[in-house]
Amino acid sequence: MDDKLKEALEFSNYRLTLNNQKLNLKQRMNTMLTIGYSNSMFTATLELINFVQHLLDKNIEQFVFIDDNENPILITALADFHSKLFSAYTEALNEYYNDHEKIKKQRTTKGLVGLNV
Amino acid sequence: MSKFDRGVLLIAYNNGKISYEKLAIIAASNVKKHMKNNHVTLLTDVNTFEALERELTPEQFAVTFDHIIVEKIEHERNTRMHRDSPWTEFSTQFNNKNKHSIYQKSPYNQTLMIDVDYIVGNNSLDVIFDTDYELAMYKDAISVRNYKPRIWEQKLHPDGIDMWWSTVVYWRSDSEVARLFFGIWEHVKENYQYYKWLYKFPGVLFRTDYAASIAAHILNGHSIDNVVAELPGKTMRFSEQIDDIVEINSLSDYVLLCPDPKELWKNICSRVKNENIHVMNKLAILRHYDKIKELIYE
Repeated sequence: MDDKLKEALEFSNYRLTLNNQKLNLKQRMNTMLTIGYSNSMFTATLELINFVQHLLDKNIEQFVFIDDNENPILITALADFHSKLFSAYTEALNEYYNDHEKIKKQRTTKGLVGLNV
Repeated sequence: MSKFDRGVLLIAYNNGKISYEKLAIIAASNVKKHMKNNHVTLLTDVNTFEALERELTPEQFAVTFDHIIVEKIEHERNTRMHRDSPWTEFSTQFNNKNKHSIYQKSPYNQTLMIDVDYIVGNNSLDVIFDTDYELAMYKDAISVRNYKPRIWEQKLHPDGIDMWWSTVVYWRSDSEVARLFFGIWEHVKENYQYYKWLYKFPGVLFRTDYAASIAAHILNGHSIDNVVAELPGKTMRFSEQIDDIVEINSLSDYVLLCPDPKELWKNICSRVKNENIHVMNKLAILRHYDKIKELIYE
């Protein structure tokens, strides 16, 4: 095979693997965003975190939220709810960032998936 | 028998070609390692239990399983084609026809049933035990190559109802909805040809995913509603039967070789860390059994 073509195909495979690994990290991050609260499940999104913060800023004590399975849930401890959402979001994003930094530095397909063959 | 409060139920029936007792050891150990709600019950038959006793020392047995239910059972015939990589196919007996009976047999008030080829790599499923949801499964899935499942694993028919995966099922034993759900599942099993005609799905193999999906559809009033909740994370990761496992770095760090399902000669490697994965190629797991066992009991 022509050397230039071989090199290009290797790079193509590297980019494909890099893209797949980035998607894997995102999937892992999404898994970490779910919290259990008030007998229900919620996904910690920026929108939800900021909305709860907005309610806290307005001194609102309780509010009804739609959980991950479309049920309306009354939350009475908004500060605690915010803290749990914020901490899940922070933890997920930090892990995503750290793992993303690691794969960014990898220059080979083997390195991307941690293979020592 | 008084019930345990919360726990994980595994089912393992050997079939001569796949060592389900070894898969059960791996599944149970991963639950023990990664989950907080990690009381494990194994539902099995006499042959598989004897194989399990040969495989583990009494000490290993005690740290792996908390409770064992051994049944004398005559399995109904259900032949399934498996793939082990793109290039190997084999058929074997698939003992899944009594899966609906887990509702009666579970020793828990809150049960999480997981298939033994579901590798738990994190604690995300613990969240479901702290909800008041009565019944939960996964509807959406994405492969370790980040592809959607085939259309027949998204819907029972391209214009039909959504498919729910029976790989992981959570329910509360005091739930009327759960009782009805498993009852309909059994009814669909007994009238499978009729429901196959009605819902227009293919194949001759009895698929518990399809029976569970029809049960969910009927309980939703033949419509779309949330009588079945979605499990934490909402998306189940899976690896295809054509995938192989290249390397296992730890109990929650797998490197898989994943051919493109449409162009089988095009492979990429995918490393999946700290995730739960439904590994459909059971022989791929078993090829690494000795290493996994070493990691479990080291």
